Amino acid sequence: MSDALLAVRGVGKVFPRIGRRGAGVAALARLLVAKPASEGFVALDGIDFSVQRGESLALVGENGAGKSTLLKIIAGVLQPTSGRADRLGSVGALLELGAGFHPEYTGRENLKLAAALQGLSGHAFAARLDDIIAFADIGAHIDAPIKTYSSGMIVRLGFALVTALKPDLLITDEVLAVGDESFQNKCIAWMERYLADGGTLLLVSHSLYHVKKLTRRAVWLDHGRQRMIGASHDVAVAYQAFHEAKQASAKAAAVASASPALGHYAVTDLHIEHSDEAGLRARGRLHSRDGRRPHVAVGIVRIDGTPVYGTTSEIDGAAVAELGDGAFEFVLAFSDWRLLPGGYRLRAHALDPEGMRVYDTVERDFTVGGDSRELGMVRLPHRWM
Amino acid sequence: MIRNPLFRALVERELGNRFLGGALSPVWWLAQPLLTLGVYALVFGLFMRSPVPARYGDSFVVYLAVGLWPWLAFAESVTRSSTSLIAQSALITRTALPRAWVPLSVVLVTFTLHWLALSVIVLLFKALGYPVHLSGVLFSLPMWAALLAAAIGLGWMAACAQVLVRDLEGMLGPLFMLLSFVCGIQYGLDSVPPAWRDVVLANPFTHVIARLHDTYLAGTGLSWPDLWLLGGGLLLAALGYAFFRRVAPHVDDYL
Repeated sequence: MSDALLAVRGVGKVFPRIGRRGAGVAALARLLVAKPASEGFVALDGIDFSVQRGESLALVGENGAGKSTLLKIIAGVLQPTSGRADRLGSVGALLELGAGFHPEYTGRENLKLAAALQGLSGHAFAARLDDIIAFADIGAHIDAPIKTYSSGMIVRLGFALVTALKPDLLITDEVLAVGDESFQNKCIAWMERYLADGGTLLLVSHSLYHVKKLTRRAVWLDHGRQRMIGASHDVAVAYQAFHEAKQASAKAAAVASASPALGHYAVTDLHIEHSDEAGLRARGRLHSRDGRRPHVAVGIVRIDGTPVYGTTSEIDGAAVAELGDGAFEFVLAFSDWRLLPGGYRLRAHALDPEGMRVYDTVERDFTVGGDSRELGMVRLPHRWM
Repeated sequence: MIRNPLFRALVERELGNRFLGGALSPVWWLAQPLLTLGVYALVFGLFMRSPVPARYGDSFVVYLAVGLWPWLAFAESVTRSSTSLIAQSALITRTALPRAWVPLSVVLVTFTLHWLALSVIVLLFKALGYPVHLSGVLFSLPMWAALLAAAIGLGWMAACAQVLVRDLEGMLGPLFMLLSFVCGIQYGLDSVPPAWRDVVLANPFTHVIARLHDTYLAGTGLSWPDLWLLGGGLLLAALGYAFFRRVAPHVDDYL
C-alpha cells in the first residue's frame, strides 16, 4: 500500500431485500454456509481508489448514491459483499448524527462510551474531557440527557470528540450540514488546521463549496458506481453541470407537460456564463403559464446563506425578453463587484408580472478566487488618512 | 478483553440500562427472582408439597432457591442476549464496535447480578438457621461457570438468529420454562416417575442443578463430573462463537 492510508479495492455491497418479519431461516442458513446475499439492492459496485497519508478526498453524489454505505465500509462498520477496504492507522469517524449516543444518558456520560469506541479512554480521556466540552460549547446541557438536545448540539458533541482524537484518518458524513454558522466555521477552521498538520480527511458533503475548500481530490458516486475521480474542482464542476442538466431537463419536461408542479411562473434555466474576481454574467430562462411577462429577481448570497445583494427586473425597470410559447430570457451582468474570495451562490426567482410574488427559485454556486486577506464579503472603497 | 476500556464502558452501560427509568429498577434484580421464588414456593412447596430429597435437608424454599437463581441467570441471559443486537442496532450499525461484546456484556451483567443475589440469600438463609453450606458459594463456582459459558454461547447464537428470525425470542420463554421443569429445580429427582427418569437425566442441565444442590445443600466439594459439565459449557461457547463469527458481520443487512 506504499504510503496509502486507505486502499479501497473493488468494493461492492448488496443489501438483501427483507420483509418486516425478518429474513427467515433460509437467509440464516445461507449465512452459516458463508454465502452472503448476492441478490437484492446493489448499493455499491466496483469502487476502487486509494487515499495517501496527508491527502483529503471528498465523496460526492446524490442521495442514495452509496456515499454513506461506502464510508461505513471504510470505517469498518459494514462488511462489503465483494472487494476490500484496507486501512492503516487510527480512524475517527463521524458517520451519522449522534452515532453511538444513547438518548437516555447525559452528554458527559455518552462521551465516555463514544470516546472508548474511538479508542480514547482512561486518563487520556479524562485529561481531554474539558477540552472536548469546551469545543462543544453547549454549556450546562452537557449534564442533560441527549434526548433533550437539538440536532445541532448533538453534532457539536460528536465533532468536539473528534477534535480530541486527532485520528490519522478522519471520516465525516455531512457533519457540516448540521449546526449553526459559527459552529460550521469553527469545524472548518479545525479541519483546515488538521489537514495542515498532516491529517487525512475523507469527507462526504452535498456542499460543493466545502468539497472544493477542504479537499484536493474527489470521487463522484452515481447509483453505487464510481462515475468520476479526480481533482476536487474538476469533479465538483462536472457534478454541478450534471445537476444543472438534470434540473433543466426536469424543468423542460414539466414545461412540456404543463405540469401543475411548475407553478404559474418558473425559472427553467440558469447558467453562469462567466465569473471571476471582477464580475459575473448569467443567462436564464423563465416560463409563464399564462403568457404574461414575468419579472425576475436575482440575488447573490454567501455559501452559508448570508445575503450579499439582490435586485429584480421590476426594481431596475428592466423587462425580460420574450421568446414565444410562454418562454422568456434574461441576461444579467455584474461588473466591478468587489466581492472578496470565497464561495457564493447565485439565486434567480421567477416573480409574477407585478413583481410582488415569488413563484420559483433556482440556484447556482460559484467561487470568487484570489488571495486577498481582507475580511468580510465585499471590498469597500476606502483610504487611510 | 475484561480490561479493555470499551468493553468496560459497554458493561457499565448494560448495568446502567438495568437501573434506568422505573422507580423500582435499582432493586428489581433482587426482587424479580424473589417473587419467582415466592410463586414457585407457593405452588410447588405449599400446594403440591414437592418432597425435598433427604440429603438436602427439609426446607423446600432453600432447595428451590439454590437451583432457581442460577437457572434464572442462564435463561434470562440467553433471552436478553437474543434481542441485544437489535436493541443496540443504532450502535452497531454506526460504529465499529466489536459485536460479540454486546451479547457478552448482557450475559456477564446478568450472571453477576444473580450470583450476587444468591450469595446474599445464602448468607441470609445461614443467618436464619436454614441448612445451607457457605462452602457452596465457592464450590458451586464451576457450575456457575458452566452455565455462564453455555449462556454466552447460546446468547451469541440467539442474538444473531433473532435478527434474521424475529420469532425466536417468543419461542425462548416457553422453551426455558419447559427445560426448567425437567431439570429438577422445583422437585427432587427421586420424585420423578421411573419411566421419565431417563428423559430428565438426559438433560445436561439436570446434572448442573444437581451439582448446585450438592454444593450448597449437602456441602460436597469439587468432583470430576464438574469438569465434564464445564467442558460442555465451554463447547457450547465455542460453537456459539463460531456461529456468531459467521453471521454477525452481515446482520446490518437485516437490521
